Amino acid sequence: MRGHVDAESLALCAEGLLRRRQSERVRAHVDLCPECAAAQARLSEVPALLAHVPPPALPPVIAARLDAALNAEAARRAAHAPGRAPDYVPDHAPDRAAPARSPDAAPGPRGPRRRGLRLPVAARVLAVAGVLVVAGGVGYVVTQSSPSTSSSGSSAPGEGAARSPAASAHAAPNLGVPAFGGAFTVTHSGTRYQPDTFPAQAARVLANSAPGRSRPGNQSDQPGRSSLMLTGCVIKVVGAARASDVKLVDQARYGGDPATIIVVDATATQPRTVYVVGTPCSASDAPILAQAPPR
Amino acid sequence: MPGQPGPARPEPRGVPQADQSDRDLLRLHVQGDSEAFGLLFVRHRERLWAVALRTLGDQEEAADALQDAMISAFRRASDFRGESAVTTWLHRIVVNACLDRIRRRAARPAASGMDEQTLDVLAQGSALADPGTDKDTALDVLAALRTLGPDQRAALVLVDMLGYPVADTAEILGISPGTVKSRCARGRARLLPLLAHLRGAGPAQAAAGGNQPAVPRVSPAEGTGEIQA
Repeated sequence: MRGHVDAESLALCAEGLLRRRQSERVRAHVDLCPECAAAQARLSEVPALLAHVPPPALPPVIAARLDAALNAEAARRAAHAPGRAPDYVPDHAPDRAAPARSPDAAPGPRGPRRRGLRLPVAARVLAVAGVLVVAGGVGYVVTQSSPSTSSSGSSAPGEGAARSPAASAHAAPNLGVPAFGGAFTVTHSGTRYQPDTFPAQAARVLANSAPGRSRPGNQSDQPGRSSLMLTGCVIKVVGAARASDVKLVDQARYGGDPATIIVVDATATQPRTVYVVGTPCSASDAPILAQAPPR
Repeated sequence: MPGQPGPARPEPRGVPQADQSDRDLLRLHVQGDSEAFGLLFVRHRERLWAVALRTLGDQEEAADALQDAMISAFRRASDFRGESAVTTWLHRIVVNACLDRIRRRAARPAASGMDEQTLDVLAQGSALADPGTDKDTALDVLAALRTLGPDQRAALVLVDMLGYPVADTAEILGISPGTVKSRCARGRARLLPLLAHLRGAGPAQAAAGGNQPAVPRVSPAEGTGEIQA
């Protein structure tokens, strides 16, 4: 018999998703064909089979981990804004605007940043001033550290609520120098770090990204790494205690591959440290490719 | 949780209470309260965990996704516009975090090991605590589910497996109810041959199949066309 109904048509028909003619044809066939009727019956049991799998309980270990992460986050917020909530800047990718496809945890560097100034590659390599400030991991704030084109002056159209004055106020003086615990700047220096020279290269980029030295740069062309992910990565690498001592987060290359270079200032007990982190760079997964001084 | 006046009080200030509505807690959080978000999250995290684990099929990844989503929600609370329920909003963030991971995983083919799948199925099996469950059935269902693409899987996990209404699922996934239905329908059709041996094991829990082999590893390429809704 040539014309059996395939499972997908049966399933779509059951959901009333076929056009009327099609649906009538399917039904007519199923009425006469025991095989397809059986398939339809089995199909109707699939939801029950799925429902039969019990929902998994949250393992205590993971609950504890979530609690710890939440506490750390709450502590960071508290440190950031003692007694004041409103300067806690929201991300600029509000959920209402984004269809589910827009990855939540990647509050879209693509949008506003893409609209920024575009420079040819050669210029980009030198440009370090296109700086993103992650305000306590809250979100990207695009800043231009020197006078630049009007297009970038208001880079982030349509993000009014999120792009609050508070955000800019934080961002502007923030180049290179975190104003509060947990904040750090992200540069895209375009540097190709090398295994034997990366500490010196990092020092150079750091020096160049100091406020006085910066040049107008562009913020685009870094494929969407989320601020959240990056913040998590940095904290994972340097530890929450040293997060406020982070001097440089440079999304660049190491030996040809994308990498994040993190410089943490010296503390009483630890020297200044340069980390090279491969991809992915996230709170859960932050492969350290190199470190200076070595551990 | 019944108790005090109820959630409709305007602009709650002060200490968050366990019986406050999700919205109130979220508002308190945005106002700077340090406990409100924790209360809110604890309220929903079991369900969010189920969604994350069933969507990703891997405990570690699910934990990472849930944590990312939690922090994201914590920070983006002021973006909540009140157009949907707070739970829907939370689910949406979690599901997005999961799908994001699946996509990233797909973009890095060599990065994850190959018998990961087997390990994950085993790991999930150990998480099936309910003694009344036919473990083999559950394992087979989970293994079958893994053969689906993320979109169909997410829809089926929400609607069929965890029982969310189509309308809520649509909101969570940011797609139309019709698309939810067609993803579910196509997903079920794909699962059909993989679950055929479990016939009747559903509500009635007939011990169908005895020593049936586990779900055959079906090539994801099988049945191309418009399978991905």
